[in-house]
Amino acid sequence: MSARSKDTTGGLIWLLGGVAVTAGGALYLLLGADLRSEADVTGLPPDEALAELDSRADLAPHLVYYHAQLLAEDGQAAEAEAVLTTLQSSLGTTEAILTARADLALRGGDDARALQLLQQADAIRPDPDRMRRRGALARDLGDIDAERRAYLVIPEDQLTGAEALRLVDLLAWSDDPDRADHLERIALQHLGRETSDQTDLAVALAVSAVGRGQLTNLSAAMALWARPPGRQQALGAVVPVLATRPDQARQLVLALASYDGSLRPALITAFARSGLGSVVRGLMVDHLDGQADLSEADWILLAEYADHSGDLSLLEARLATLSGTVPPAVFMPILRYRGAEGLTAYQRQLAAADLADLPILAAAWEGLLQRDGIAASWLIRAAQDQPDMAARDRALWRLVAQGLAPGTGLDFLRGKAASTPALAQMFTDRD
Amino acid sequence: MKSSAERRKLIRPVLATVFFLMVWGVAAAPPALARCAADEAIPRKVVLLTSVAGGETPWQDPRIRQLRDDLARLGMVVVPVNGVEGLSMAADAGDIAGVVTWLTAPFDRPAEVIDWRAGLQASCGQVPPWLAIGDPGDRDAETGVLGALGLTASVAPVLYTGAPMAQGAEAFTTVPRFRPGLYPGFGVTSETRGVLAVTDANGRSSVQAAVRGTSAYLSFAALDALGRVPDAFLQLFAQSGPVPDRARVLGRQAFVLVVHPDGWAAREAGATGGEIGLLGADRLASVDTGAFPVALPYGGDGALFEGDGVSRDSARSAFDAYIALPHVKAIDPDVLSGEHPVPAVDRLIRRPGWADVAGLHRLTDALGGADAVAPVAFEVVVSDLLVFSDRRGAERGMSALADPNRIVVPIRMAEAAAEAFAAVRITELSEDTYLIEDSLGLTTVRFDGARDKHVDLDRSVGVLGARRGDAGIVVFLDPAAASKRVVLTAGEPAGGRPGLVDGSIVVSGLSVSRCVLQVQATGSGAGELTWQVRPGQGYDVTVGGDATRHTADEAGLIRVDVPASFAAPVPIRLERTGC
Repeated sequence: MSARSKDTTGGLIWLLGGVAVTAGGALYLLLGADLRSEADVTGLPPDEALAELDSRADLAPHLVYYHAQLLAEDGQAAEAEAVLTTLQSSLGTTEAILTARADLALRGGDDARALQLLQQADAIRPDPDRMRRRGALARDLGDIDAERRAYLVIPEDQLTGAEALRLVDLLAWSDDPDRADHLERIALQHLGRETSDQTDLAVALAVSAVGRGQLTNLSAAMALWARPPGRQQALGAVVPVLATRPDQARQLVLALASYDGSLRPALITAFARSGLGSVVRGLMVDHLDGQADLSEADWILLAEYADHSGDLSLLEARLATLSGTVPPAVFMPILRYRGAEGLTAYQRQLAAADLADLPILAAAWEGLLQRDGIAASWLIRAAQDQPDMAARDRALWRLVAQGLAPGTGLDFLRGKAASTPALAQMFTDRD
Repeated sequence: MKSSAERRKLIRPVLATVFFLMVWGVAAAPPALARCAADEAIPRKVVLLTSVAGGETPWQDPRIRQLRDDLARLGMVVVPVNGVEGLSMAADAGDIAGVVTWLTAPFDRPAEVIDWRAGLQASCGQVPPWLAIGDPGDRDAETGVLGALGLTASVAPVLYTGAPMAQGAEAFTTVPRFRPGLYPGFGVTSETRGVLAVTDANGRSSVQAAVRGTSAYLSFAALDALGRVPDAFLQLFAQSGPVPDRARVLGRQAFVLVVHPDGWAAREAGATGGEIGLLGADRLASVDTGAFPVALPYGGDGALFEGDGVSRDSARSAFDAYIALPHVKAIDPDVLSGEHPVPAVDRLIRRPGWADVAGLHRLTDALGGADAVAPVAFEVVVSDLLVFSDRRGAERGMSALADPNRIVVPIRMAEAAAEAFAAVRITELSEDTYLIEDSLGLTTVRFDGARDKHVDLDRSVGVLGARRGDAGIVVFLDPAAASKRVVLTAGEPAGGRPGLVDGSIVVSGLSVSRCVLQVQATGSGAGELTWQVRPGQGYDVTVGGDATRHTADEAGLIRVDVPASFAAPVPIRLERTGC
């Protein structure tokens, strides 16, 4: 486009604007000074617009609404409410009026009234955002029924994870068994997505399921989490809940494992870590059955099972007929439950192994070889490398230290702890 | 020191019948502690043991701030001890009224807590009142804290599915809504009252709140929705005698007007195209802030003046002129932070989520109605004044506060008396006679529940007056006196000295002779003072330079108006006519 035509266009717009201004002026003159147009009133500064609207009667509905808004902004809540109530009686009840009146009630500190008005507005046309406000208000008021009503009308696919979780609680308090399946399904829908409160949701689902003794929904969810690659965190979170009902837990685990054998490793790990090794011993046996040579993953699984359950029988039986090499982590449960002496049976394996990733085991092994100075430096390294070591591993660390000769062992390390924070924490029992 | 029987008499009416179980549990406990400190000051420190990670303060947790404020309401000062940094420092705390532990997990070094407890016992003759919130600290039921609290622990947690209700709900004003989930398997020993528990379908219970003697346990789940500790548990630490109260002046809520300068050089939107809106500085000038002192949090970094280029210099000179006004004083912005053991002011934070609705309009209501434990900050941001609704809220609020009949008293930030509250030492010299030392700046002590007593002004020192009400006696102190003496009597005292019963400004510097009483208004806005004298008695009252003859009405009241004066204090003199 040329520079010239640009000018022409600009001029045209300017001209049209001028016509509009002139027409507005003519209309203004026609209507007279006491009835300025809507555009004029809404274009005034708020103070002046308010004074103008205060002085006029028979306003059009949208100007009445604007008047109420300005009164409210001016702090004249009662006057605003009166204007809106009058508008409502002439125009009928609308969402906008009810919502505005709810805001006024909130400003006046009358939360219960605000909640009531928002409920009326939702009765005309449900609005998810408004329901969330209702939910939050009802929660502030401690009105469980109103809060539940608010969340139940939000379409389930629009609930956030936190809202679904809250709804799970709300329905649990209602002690309404017919609702329980419903809430579990809501929780399940959210467990299908990636949300930050997944473990909370998983626990809520487990509490509901175990509390009712109805494990169908939970077992479906657990199958999902246990199937590789798995969601070990969610699975781990529900096991402590299941631990309160060991019989139910056993039934559930057997049903899941016989339904799909690939679920076994994840189930074994989760249950053994939560101290329910006895529940999954059968699974461990089934898993090893028929496997002449174990993969590295299966060795680690077996070691983890033994380490957390204290049941060494399956591990030791396998090690007894061992011909090849194994990952050195399998000797951790041996050390933990049989002590450093227990390692002597596996000298050949340990001598050949790289123990750099298992410094406590390395220390025990060096101690067994009477190289206490090296053992002590492995222990220091363990303390420094693993500042968040679990309490059971700290206890094992102290046990290994205790087995070393005086001067290099526990007393030496305790003396050093005064100046080394990483060592000091090894002498606490915090879990 | 009152006997425990008298103390119970004071406490009982405060706690209504809904607290029946707790009253029995707490007030019928063994008698109050023998004084730990040798000088017999009434203990006011509550040691708060937390284990927060390095670099953090416990005050970041709003529930702990709430606890601090609720204890301040009882006149207590919270002394935080971070267990991560070691417990030895806490053992020195002389006048310990009690210990609160706030732990999210068993303590790292349980033996240290047990030793520390034993140390307190050795120095005081007994363990001070002990409230364990959250984790009790250790798992040793034989020698540890768990046993001292009267708790037993089973390994298996309790699965609460929501269906059976909590037990022992009577002890709480509002029963906490326990979330369905796993709860630690705490039970109670026979001498313990388990006041609240959740129960599973098999009848196994998890105790959530328990009282044994002067020790008590509360789980985090048993705190209410706002994270508050139920009042009955706080009463474990209550002491008889006067309660320092720094929130009130002459019986009214003290407030500080804070004007945040942000938006000083910003402009409000022009109403219609072409018009230029006003500067924030101009808007502030149109609001009358001259009726009381203004605190201006200002670091002097010049960031205020990042407005449009044309106005920057004029905004700067307007700001310099404003800050030179006698009623305006720049303060350190950090003073407003609530994360202190004794914060300078209570900030009325606009309600989260609804700020757009309420704006500044409700702040004035909140100011008068607040159950504050400190002077309340009425905060205006200059940029607020560029928005119609907030400007109107601020204007209305400030004009209400400027009225001499206001329900609040304006003070300067320097008068917020946080240090005085922390340092004040109260000693009972004899029955109903209290020495209040190290109390420069302190304006009020309360005798909660003391409805049948009066203040004997003639025998008291540094006492401006008092007001008696249903809740007890509120005693108005001279903030300029470092040491005061308050004497109560059973009957109405015969003395004739004028005493303040009401007022809306800060006065201090009391001097009393046979015929003349003098005080001074310490330079704030205009206000009023109401004096109680004998009915019909005449007084020549001089305010500043002008003397007027006043005659007390039938109730014996004389009302004196005091003009605003920021430059110098206003002397006020009352001389009994014909003396």
